[in-house]
Amino acid sequence: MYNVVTYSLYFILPYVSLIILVCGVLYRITLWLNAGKGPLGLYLGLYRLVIKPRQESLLSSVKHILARMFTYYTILGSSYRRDYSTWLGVLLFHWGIFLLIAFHLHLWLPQLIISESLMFILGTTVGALTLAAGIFLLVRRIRVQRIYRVLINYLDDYVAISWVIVIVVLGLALRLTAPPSLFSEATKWALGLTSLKYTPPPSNLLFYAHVLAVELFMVYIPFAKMIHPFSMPVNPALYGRFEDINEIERRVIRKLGW
Amino acid sequence: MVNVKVKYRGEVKDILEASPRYSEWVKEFSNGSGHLKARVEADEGTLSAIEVNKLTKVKPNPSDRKLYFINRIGELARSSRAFRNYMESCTHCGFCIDKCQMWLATRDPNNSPVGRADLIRNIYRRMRKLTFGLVDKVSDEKELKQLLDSIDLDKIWTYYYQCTECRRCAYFCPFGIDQAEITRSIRQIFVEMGMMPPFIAKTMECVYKTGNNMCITKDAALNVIDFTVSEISEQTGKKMEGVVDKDTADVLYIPSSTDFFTNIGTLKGAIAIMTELGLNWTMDSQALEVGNFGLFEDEYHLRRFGDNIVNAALRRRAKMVIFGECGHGWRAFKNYVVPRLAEHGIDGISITQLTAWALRKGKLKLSNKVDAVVTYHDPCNLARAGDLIEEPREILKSTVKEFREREHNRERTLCCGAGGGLLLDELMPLRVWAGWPSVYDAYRTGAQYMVAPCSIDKAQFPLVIEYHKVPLKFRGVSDFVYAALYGIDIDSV
Ligand code: SF4
Ligand code: SF4
Repeated sequence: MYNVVTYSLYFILPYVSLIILVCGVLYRITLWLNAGKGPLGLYLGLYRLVIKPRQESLLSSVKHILARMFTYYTILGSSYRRDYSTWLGVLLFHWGIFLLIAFHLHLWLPQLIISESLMFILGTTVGALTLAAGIFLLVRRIRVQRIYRVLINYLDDYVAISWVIVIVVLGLALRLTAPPSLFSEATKWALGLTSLKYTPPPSNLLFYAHVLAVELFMVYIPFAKMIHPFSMPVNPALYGRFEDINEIERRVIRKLGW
Repeated sequence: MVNVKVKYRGEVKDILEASPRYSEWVKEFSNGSGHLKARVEADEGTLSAIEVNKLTKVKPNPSDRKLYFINRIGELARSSRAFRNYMESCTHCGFCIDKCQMWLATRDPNNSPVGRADLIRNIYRRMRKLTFGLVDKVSDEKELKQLLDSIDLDKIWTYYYQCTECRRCAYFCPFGIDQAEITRSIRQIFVEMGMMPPFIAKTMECVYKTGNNMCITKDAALNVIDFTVSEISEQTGKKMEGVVDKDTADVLYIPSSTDFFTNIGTLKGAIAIMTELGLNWTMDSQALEVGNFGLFEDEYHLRRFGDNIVNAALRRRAKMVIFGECGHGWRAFKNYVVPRLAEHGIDGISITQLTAWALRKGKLKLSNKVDAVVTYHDPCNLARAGDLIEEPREILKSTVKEFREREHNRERTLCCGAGGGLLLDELMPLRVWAGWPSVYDAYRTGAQYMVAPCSIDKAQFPLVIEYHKVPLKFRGVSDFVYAALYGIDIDSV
């Protein structure tokens, strides 16, 4: 019985969640892409939508959207005051997640030898910072509703962030308590997954819980609100008609014979 | 009382408390701004004159309208990438709330970008049931009924006519969610339900009749121009011609029709600039309008009024169209008219671009700088949607003694509070407060003049300045060019 459960949760479910994640996200991107710009290929009569001036090419638009997504600079943009604490929270939370995901790739790269103590320090520090930032953002979310006297959050908004916090808590606890042998066992399990061979996962309750939480989160993503990284390729600012003012200036000056 | 304090660094008071009329604000807005509603045009004659009856797709009873409304929301999700994206990608972080000058002015959460969007997003999400967009399907009968019962179209109308489509939220939102585009989409649906504020409908009726917002006939226009050029010759000793309907001309100038009434200084500036540059230019009596109220309402009118300019350019066989001082019109012009003109090899630029480029090239000789301290208000549609940011600054810096940058400048500019078709009398209590953050920002620079090349600003700011008793004067940009060209006192321009 025990074997059947671990086999299905830690060998079958990973594939199922991955397929749901990939197909679900692709399906949603297709839906967004299928929604055209609007009647006549215009945004209600306009050829382009810009959210920042002087986006003169597709490239500058892409750069600008990526800059928003990875530096969160608009939060710092001054409007009466700069909200440094929120910006720091958002930055730490997102970059913490990026780093933690990157650290996990190590499971598939056992050749890369990193000392156990370094792995421990990096894992716990980044994990703890991410967790602190996550809790800060969750509290902020509740506070924002209270100070503005507005009910803006949907259940979905709370579920998404709380779930990530749960994953990080479990991962952090695992990192703090795991025996040194766990990493190599986990690596075998992970490599087994990529080579389609069942290798039992390390028998550790926290490990079970952490992995399960991640798997369920992967299933949840396509059904949730548009999870932000995937909205990038359908950002309306990318589908416009670009023009270069300097080029127009040169042309007009030529026409005027100046 | 204000619930969340918004203040400048180093100040203790909320920006609203800094106004001498704060006690009136408390009376007006303690319970939000839901009581200030744009009226709905009921005059059948007007509605049919502007073809709204042709655009209307539903009978004017509440249940039909509601059903139509939600069906259109579903349709927009399928046909408009922007609408769908904005409906689905908001994380409810709330960063946009205190960026919206409508919220700053009213502190009403429904009157914030996310609050306004959620009025629609709540419907949108219920239509997508549990899957929130994965499966694109309208709810079953029972749920549909519940959904219809829950919709308050009156509330949606109210708050969607309290958004100035300034797009300040879009700049600050980490995802660039552009509430103005949602507002435009929803107003499009209202037009299809035959609903439009009377001020906008009447203005459009004028455009249908005369080609401009103020119902100026050709004769009236010629009269004003005669008067203007005779004033120019009195002030400068120069003989100029305000050309209208010249058969063919290289350059077609499109003025703002309000320049024929209240902003004569801007008209003088434009005539002087064009004459000094020695251009072969003309105006077209059927296209004396830079404004395009279609931008606020629906895409049919936007295109129709835009095409009017294209046709005028073709009629005059112009090589170039010069666009007068206007904010929202520039957005419609740059994003609709210019691409259409380009199909005919015609360029479209703004008078501020022309002036700035001429100054750079040394083509305009100024006699002396105007003795004034000015600050510049970036009109939303020039800065955030039209890339016109540095040109007006360049002009002001070379025409006035002292130019002071205010705190909220360039793409972070604060809206005048009457854009997006909100120049309505019935919204006056809202307007005077929505314009206050910008006026206060300008006032804090210690400047004597607040300047912007935008006709809505010219109609709105003097009222706001007067209401809050601020020692500021408001002028257009070309006014200063005119004063500097001939060394004239700016107040007599
Ligand atoms: S800033 Fe953007 S994502 Fe955040 S609440 Fe406002 S619209 Fe939503
Ligand atoms: S477009 Fe302007 S007025 Fe409308 S919600 Fe955004 S910030 Fe507010």
